[in-house]
Amino acid sequence: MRSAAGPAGSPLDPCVILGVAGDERVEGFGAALARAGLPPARVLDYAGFAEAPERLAALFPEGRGLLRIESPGGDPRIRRALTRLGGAEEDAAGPATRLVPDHAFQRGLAAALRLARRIVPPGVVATHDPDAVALFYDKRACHAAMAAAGVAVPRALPPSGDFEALRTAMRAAGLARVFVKPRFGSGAAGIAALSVSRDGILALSSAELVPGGGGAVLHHSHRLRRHHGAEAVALVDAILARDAHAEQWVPKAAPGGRPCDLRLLVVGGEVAHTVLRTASGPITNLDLGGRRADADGLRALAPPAAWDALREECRRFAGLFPDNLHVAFDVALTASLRRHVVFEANAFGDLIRRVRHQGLDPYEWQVARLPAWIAARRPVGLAA
Amino acid sequence: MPYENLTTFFGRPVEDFQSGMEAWDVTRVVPRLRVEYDSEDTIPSMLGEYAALPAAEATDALVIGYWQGEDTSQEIVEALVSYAGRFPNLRALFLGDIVSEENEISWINQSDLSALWPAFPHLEHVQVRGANGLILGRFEAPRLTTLILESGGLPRRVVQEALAAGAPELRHLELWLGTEDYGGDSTPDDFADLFAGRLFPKLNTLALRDCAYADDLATAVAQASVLERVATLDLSLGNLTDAGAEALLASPGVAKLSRLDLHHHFLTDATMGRLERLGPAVDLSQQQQAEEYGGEIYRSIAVSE
Repeated sequence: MRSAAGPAGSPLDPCVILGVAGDERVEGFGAALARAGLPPARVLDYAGFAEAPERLAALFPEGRGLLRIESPGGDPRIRRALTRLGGAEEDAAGPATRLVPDHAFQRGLAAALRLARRIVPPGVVATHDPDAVALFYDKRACHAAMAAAGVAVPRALPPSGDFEALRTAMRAAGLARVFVKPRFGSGAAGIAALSVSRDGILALSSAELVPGGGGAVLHHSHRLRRHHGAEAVALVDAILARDAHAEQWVPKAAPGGRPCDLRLLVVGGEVAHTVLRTASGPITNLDLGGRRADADGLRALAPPAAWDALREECRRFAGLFPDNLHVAFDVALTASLRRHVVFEANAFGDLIRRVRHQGLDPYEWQVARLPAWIAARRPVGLAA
Repeated sequence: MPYENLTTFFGRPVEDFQSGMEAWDVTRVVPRLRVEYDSEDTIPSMLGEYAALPAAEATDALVIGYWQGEDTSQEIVEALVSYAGRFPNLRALFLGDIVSEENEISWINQSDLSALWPAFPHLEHVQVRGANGLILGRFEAPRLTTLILESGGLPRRVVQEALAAGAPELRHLELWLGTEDYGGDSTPDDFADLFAGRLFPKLNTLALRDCAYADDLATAVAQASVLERVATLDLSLGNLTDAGAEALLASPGVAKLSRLDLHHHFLTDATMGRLERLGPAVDLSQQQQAEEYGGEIYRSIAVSE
């Protein structure tokens, strides 16, 4: 059992993590607490929370402390629990690689986080605002929010139900290359980099259409492949049918011939960890062959003003969400190295391995910044 | 490939000209005009702006970079021609410094360049990337020393136009022949006059790169009298195997070259060893392995899509 903390105790005591017990994120934050000499966090996993939400309140016996919200991850048990909470049953029989629409899962996650906020005692500070998490997970809404805030983003296309509609929208926008991304999704699963011309259609994607009983089924293959012509059309049709966001494919800087983008973490309003991801093609995700590199390599090539503008813009947008301890951006310099473009904001993008900021990993850095961040927060239940 | 934008061109560093710049030191850097993703500027509008600068008159080299969407280079060519009077000293032009993250080489839409030749009679170096819709026309280029056409598939018609050029000063001829999948439908026969030495009396570098019939091409060029004229033979980026290399090894003309560039090839180690002892400085880097797929053997050229 946790020892009782006196009035002079750390604001991180008690710390409760709503997440996935034993996963890398929870372990990473736990290790950072231990290194700071703080008591271990109690972990409530999403499935357990969905079953008996009142258990969360019981973990704050003194009515104060920190609620750390973590990514629900890809654990099938938790996916099912949150999907049910979102009002749908997930087909548990399907293979794990099958790409299914995430709408119900996202509704479930948002519902869980709102519920958690209502349940915890008013003196508890939470690391995430449920509405912001929902916004960041919705690629279309997040893009619109960034655009409205004056953030440099790719041009978005209106929603299209199928390839023909997308093609028409592209023509109207004067775009020959776009990214098509599942509206709710994470990583590169289901994303296609699409090029069209009068003579051809090319889609680079890790999604594959696999013939099945009731028609072809979309799978994540963990391998990027070029799809041409009718095959590309069918693939894009399938991605769009699941509800997708389409936006201009902005040419990224490609030093050494490798297109790259940055994962940039803002913690408590300040830019912290950054890592460069480089790839042989436009999709840089590390699980699809992208490689990590030192962000300073790109920084050295770019005009200082461009680099500063990129960081400042991420910091500024994160600042619009003061109730989120951290926001992680996917951002790039353009091919000219003079401009930047922000692709996505992530609610749980702080798992950045083997990168340190002022000697600390992302979890250690958050533990170090948390007391000041908490002090500046109004506890969730005490809103004016 | 090509994956990187030019850093130098015509012997000087390349820098992007940006809308609103008022000064440009042409003696120091070569301007590149390219469209940014969020800009309303077009290459023709930027060209108009650059042409109005005092620097335009002294500009001897110009790079045209990425242009948006499905546009062809037609409006750019028209703009260049309309501003030709402001560029009386233009000697080098790169049309399409576009890398794969911007647009794949075989998706770049070029256009009819016929009007450029009479508009810019001082051109010495002309380089074009992308061959979709590319037309060179029948042209006279009295000062042209370097012609480079990069593509993933160079149509035979364009090969014929290049070889028919009135370019008596041409020293460096570089054609990326590419694959039939992307419109490259030339054959060794198309080069009969060139190989027989009937064209380009000052030719020094013959580069027939990225060729999907590299063995046949090597066999044809190995016995060609044009080798008496050139110092460098470049058959790089293609799908050369030992069969083509045997023809090169048996050729007295090849043995007398000063440089032989075969990088990106499918040669065996033993054949590479023999080529290294042949005489010319040989580039044998990027040895490739054939791939088997569905019972067929594939040897891919370096640049296609």
